[in-house]
Amino acid sequence: MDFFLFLVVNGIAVGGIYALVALGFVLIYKATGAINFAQGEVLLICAYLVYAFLVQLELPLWLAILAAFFVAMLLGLTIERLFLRPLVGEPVASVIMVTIGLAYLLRGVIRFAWGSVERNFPLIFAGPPIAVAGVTVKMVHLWALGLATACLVVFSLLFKYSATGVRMRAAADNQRAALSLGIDVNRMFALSWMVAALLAAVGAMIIGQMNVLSIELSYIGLTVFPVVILGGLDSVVGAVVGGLVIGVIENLAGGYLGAYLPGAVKFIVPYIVLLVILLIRPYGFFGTHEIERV
Amino acid sequence: MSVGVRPCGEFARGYPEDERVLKTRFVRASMAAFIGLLFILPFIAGGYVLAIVSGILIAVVGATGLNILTGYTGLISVGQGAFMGVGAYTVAVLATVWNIPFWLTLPAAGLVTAAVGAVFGLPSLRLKGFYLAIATLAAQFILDYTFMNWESVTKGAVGILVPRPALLGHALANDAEFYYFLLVPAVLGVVVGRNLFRTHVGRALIAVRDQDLAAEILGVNVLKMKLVAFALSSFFAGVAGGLVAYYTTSVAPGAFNLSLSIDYLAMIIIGGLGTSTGPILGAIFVLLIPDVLQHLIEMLRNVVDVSYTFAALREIIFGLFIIGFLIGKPEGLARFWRDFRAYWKLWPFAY
Amino acid sequence: MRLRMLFVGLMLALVIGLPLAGAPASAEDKIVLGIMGDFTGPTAAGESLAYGRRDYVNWINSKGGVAGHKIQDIFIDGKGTAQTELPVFKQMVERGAVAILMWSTSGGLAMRDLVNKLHKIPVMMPGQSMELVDPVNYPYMFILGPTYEDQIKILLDYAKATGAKTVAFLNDDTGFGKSGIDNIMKMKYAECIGLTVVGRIEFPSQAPDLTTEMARLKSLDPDFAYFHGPITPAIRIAQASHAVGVRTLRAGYFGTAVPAMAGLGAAAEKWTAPRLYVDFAGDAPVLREIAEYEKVREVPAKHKIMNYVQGWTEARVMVEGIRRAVEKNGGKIPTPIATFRQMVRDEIHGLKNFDLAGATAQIVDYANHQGNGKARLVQDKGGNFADITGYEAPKGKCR
Repeated sequence: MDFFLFLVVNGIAVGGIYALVALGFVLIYKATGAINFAQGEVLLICAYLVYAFLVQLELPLWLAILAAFFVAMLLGLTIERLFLRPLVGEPVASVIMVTIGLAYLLRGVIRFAWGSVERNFPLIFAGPPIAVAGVTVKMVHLWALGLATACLVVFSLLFKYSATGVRMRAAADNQRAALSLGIDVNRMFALSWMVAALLAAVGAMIIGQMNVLSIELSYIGLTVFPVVILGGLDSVVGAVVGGLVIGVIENLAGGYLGAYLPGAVKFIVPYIVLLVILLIRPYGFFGTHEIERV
Repeated sequence: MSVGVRPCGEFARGYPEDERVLKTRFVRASMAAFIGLLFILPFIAGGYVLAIVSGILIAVVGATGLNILTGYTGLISVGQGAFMGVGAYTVAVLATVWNIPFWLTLPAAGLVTAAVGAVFGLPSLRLKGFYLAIATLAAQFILDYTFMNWESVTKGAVGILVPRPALLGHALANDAEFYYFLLVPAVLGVVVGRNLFRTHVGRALIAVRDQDLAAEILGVNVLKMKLVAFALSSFFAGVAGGLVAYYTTSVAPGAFNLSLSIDYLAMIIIGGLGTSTGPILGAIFVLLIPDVLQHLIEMLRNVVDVSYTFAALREIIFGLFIIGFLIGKPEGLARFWRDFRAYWKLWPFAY
Repeated sequence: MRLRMLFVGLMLALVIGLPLAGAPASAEDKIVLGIMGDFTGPTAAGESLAYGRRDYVNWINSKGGVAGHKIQDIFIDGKGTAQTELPVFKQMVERGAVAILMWSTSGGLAMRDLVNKLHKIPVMMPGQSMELVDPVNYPYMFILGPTYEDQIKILLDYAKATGAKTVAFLNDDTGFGKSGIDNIMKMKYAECIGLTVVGRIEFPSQAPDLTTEMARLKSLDPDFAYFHGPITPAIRIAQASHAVGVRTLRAGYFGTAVPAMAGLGAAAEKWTAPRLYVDFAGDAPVLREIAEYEKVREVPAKHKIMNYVQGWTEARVMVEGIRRAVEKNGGKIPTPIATFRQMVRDEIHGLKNFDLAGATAQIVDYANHQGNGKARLVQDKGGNFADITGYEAPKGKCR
């Protein structure tokens, strides 16, 4: 029982991180209808930016974080303006493939600027581990959970009740109709990318914390897919809940199946879950029931 | 495909003539010359050129398959690499365990891969939207894991060493023989791919991409067509993977990763989605770009030394090309080619 | 119409002419060395090794070459997989390479017949896998240094010497990590020297958090634990095991003794690893050589790591084989190319007591195609990796 509790608590801790990354992804989908294959790379570039400001330029912590946020938003704006605006009105397939190309491009830029060598990420969320239900949890995980929940609340309210949020959803739902209603679709897209980049910056600070800084960090962008399928591609609540659930499932699989099945089975269990969910409940647990079946 | 421009004096006298793929005498002569060139290549080129062209031939098979799925039917797949792996391992196992000859293993590889594809594709093909992209991503990772860990079959990290294919007892060992061996499936693949879109099946696939609701109303069974597209593309991928197995004589888990899948996507995007020459042009482009880049960097070594950043530059250029072609010239290199041919046909007239 | 025909004829001539023109000029009067790297593929993080190889050749050329002949290097990205390295290999052979510094282990295995039977060309691989070392069946393939398995054995010897009784193995799910631990467990070396293997933990390479796995390690509670896999998961292991609080002595492969690991501070304390090549923080004649080369061309700081020294040294061995072959031929390049390759191979095979300028342990006798089976061990003490042993070979009698 102890072991089970340990796995669950740790799963929730890791899940907070997944939730943060998934939020950025969901935001883009909700506002533009596009599946963003480059979320991991955006996160990666934000992590390197934080590193650059904090370690290479040696700015004080508050300034470095603010600078990173600012540049991240600028990055989101640039990406939207340069690469996605020309595709307004084009089929979404093109947008998705552009994000795949974008992922490559961003990785190349990072490699060009910082090389492939691993670096130590500076400690931001330092502090002794805390005991939760008899299990020690690192400070950084609690921060992740806290931030994810805060974002969840903010964005849920934003999308439901604020004018901007509703306009965003309209723009994603039907570009032409939104345009005809006078909604500035371009601005909505730009806004969503800026905020997604901001979220990526937050996520980067958390993830960098527990890891060495290297190009492989961008892989977290791919582990986000089981989360958003489980939670629903367009659901903010789903992203957070999905993140926690996937974190727990992953840990349970690793803990209990790891002894019987070879290799790193905990890595693929979320993907098997993904396929199962697609079969039985394709819109996820919190997504809109809009998927038409053929 | 397009009607094309016919020069004066060439006209069709009946439907069979009108529907020909190669419409004019000039085009037919050029095609014959091109095929002839392909056949005599081993006699005029060295092992290096043959190796490059062999790699391109294999890629053409895989890219044509992916083009059927993504270019013509509009379904994005990021699992092409893993499916090629399935084909490669099928060939490897059949050839090493039961000594089955290549003319059985290659089709078997295609069929096995189509079956595996169906397992991963089925859940998502019933849904509208881009769930196939996500399902194939899952397939990529799950298959990677299987290749690495199903040791009894795939021999894990060490991989399987595949003997050369044998024709009538004679093992195809040298470059030239192997080149001809690869030429057959490549040409077959392109021909099948091209002809598919002159049949009702092909037209149904295009309808599914453009307006599936209207297609459904017209009586096209959208689900069935999507499955057909996915099965075909997986079949091609499986055969391409089998060819890789024979060509490199060793099948290891790391070679069929997400990077390879993205390379194939890049090939059909840059080559031109939904065209028949697209996969060929795209394969040539994607496979040759790193070499061209390398030579360029070497030449520029005295002007500006960027040789230490080669990896980064290659990724940046690759990404920029994918994005650039999608934004600027969605019909890719095939469009350039078509425009070029039209220019030559019409010169000195502008149109 | 006629213009068009002319145009087509011209194109055809070009298309046929190009491959012919691409045929190599006679290479009978040049020394050509093929150098493969991986800049864009799965092992691209080790690209500094490729630059080290090339820069050694540049340095030798800047000092006049080998017996008065300059070495022409063909420096190409092999992209790290067997399929992509195959055309590169063929290009190098066609352009008259007398030897090739290859790259991936899977590539080396895939091309074993091309190397050893068809072209009979000496090659060297940087990956220290035991599958590549077979002087009888693969007489033209060399590696430099102890195999990964040898290195693990040296570590196990050290663990035993410091009083350990139980050991656990860890690996990630890359081919590299898996095969290393598969092999060492198959050899049963740990049992042979009197250690008990209490478990093996495997995990995905990309898992961002390894707390669960380290909890399992803690429950197994071995005296010594060895992780085989790349540096990134190794760092996560160091962090997670420290956070969970294990008393185990932890170790990784030689690529884990890098500043990124030491920079973890307390979490990496007492992390042990073999060190095969000196890195730029150390002191050895080879570093002075590199400094001398920098007067010709600057080496970017990000490439000044251990891998660079390894590449430098590999090239050194190859060039030495070439030098001896040329000198034996009276200072002229041996012809035809097949003879030259054979001579170079024989010279390398026959190297004895060859000094590597302190880069790594001396080559005592290269007949085993490894050169030396020795490695030093280093341990992280207060943020720096310090030597804890001299160059040692595995001691246990079991193979």
